[in-house]
Amino acid sequence: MEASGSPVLDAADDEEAWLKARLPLDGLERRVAGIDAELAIDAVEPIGFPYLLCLYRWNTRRWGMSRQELMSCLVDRCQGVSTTVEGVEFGTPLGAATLPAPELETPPLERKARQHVMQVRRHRLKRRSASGLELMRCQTVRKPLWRVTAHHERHGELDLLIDALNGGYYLL
Amino acid sequence: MNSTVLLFLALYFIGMLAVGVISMRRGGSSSMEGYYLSGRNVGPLVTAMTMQSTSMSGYMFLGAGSLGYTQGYYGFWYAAGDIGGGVVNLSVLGRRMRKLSQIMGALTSIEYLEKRYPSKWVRLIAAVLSVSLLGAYVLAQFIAGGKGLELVTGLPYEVALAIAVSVILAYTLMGGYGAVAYTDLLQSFVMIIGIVWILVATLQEVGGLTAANHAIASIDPTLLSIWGKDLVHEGQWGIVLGALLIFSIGYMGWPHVVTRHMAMRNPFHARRAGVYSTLWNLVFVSAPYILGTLAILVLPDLDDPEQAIFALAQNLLPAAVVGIVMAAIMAAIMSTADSILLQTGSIAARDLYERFVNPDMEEKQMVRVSQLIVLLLGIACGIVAAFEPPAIFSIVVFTTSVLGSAFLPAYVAAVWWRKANTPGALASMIVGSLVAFFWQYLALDGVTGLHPMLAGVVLSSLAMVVASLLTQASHPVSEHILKAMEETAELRPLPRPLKAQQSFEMAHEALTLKLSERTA
Repeated sequence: MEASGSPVLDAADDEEAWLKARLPLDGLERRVAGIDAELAIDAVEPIGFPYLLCLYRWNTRRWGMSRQELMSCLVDRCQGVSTTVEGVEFGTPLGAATLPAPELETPPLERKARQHVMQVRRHRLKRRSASGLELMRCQTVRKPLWRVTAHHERHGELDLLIDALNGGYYLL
Repeated sequence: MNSTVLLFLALYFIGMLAVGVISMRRGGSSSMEGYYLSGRNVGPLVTAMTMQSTSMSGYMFLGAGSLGYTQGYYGFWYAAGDIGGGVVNLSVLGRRMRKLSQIMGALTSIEYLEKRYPSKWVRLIAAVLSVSLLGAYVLAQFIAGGKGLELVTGLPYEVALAIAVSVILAYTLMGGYGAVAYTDLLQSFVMIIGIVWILVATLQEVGGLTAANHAIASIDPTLLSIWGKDLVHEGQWGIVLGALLIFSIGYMGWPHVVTRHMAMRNPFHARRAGVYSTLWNLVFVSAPYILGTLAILVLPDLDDPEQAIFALAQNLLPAAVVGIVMAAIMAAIMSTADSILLQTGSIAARDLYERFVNPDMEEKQMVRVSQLIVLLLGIACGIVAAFEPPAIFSIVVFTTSVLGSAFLPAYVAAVWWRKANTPGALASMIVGSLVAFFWQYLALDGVTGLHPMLAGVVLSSLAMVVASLLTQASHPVSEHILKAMEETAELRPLPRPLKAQQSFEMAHEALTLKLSERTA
């Protein structure tokens, strides 16, 4: 695959990389207590959610100085929802994790990531000029999530999905 | 031209511009969601206020005043619908649309329709309708801005219009939903202070509401009737119901208003936003209609009824206060114009040009296309406003009727009716827009006694139901949409903080896991 004249590495064939879990298993109990003190963990299931990680590069010129800027975009390989990220760190895979299968093809997702980054830059362009967008890397990564089955004293059993990158949660 | 008034006007514009720049720099530019939806991070108060001030400003200060001046208390039918409009909109669509749009990854209200009713024709028709109708709405705001400045500064209408259009265009190109929403919040407060100030001054001038009613009755008692001057609408329940509906449920069909649901930080904020918008409406909404009616006594020989509220302020308030009130009115008009202009430009660039003409265009092209569209639209509307300025009330009623009729069933059924499918949505948009358009064009309301909005909404809803049911076998709603709808409907008896602090950006991951669980 080629985009913007740059060679693209699709790591689908290689071993999948994992984003670093900043919320490890041993910090989970504290996090759950922080969500609601009455929640007690019954079971924990690690999940590696499939994303396409695309890294883009472009040049900007400000005060006569030219410099390169980078931006990464994650696109959900199951629903196609995209989001830009800063400071991507890789870590070790979560042991015995459930791995949902990627359902969407890479080319449309890459296109979506490109459009997303273009939109972000389009807004920034109002203040500074820049040259074209170059795709540096594009690979499938796994985002670590914790699926926690917990018991609440007043509300019974609850399933929570906890983001191991930032500690955010969602009730299943 | 009063220099004190101009000074306050200039100061106010600079202040608003500063708020816009600060809001824009603080957020909204870090991602595409940031640009279109302020990162889906808007709280209930800002959601309510941006929704109300965007929905009302230009019309309320000119069109509503004019209706009161020409038709007396008949205008209260519109006010009655308007008071409940915000809470109806937030209750019916708010929480569900916020969740569904995020699960489906939609960033504009038109993209959302295509994701819920998968077909490029849905997006094409919806985008073309939105761009043309919102363009007309921009026109109304330009005329409002021009007329306002004309009265405040004494400049000729054409010059005042050119200044207003230039400022609006400059402001719009600053862009960003966050900036627009936060300036709207401030402006909504100033609008309410301004309108209450004029109302109090006018009531003092006419000796209170009772004395005013007696005086109006001596001029023409039919002005105090709910059927309009000379009882022209007596017994026309079809017209009255349409007037009630246009601003009560009509909001749910306006693409630039329903976008506000998608930008909420939390779906559960819809309830609180509904309370705030109703409180604001209770104070604000009836005032312009009352002022228009009272202006009959204070300014009986007004040439242009749309300038009733401006003229009242100029005649009854001290110069410094007139400056503040006028600046607030102008800023509110401009804020509405910039929201709609931005929305129209975004729809034209993203939902039409990028989606159908050039999906792989480079960002520089994208910027140019979007800016060019905003600029061309602004210039075209400016020219029409300069040479053939139609009455603001007519434009607003026309565009809101067509928009409401075209999109209301599609937006409501998207979250509430599992059988609503693509042919149903297409039929509803086409039937609704055509009926509302021709009803007004051929003046069928006079013949049938039915308001165009009522006819449009009833027939487009019927088209949605009939077409969806007839095509269930050939165009079933896909499984992933049904599951997403189930997810949006879910409400649990959980503690409020636990619900409110969820990371709703994880909704799509949760949906995938639930789907795979069910499949297994």
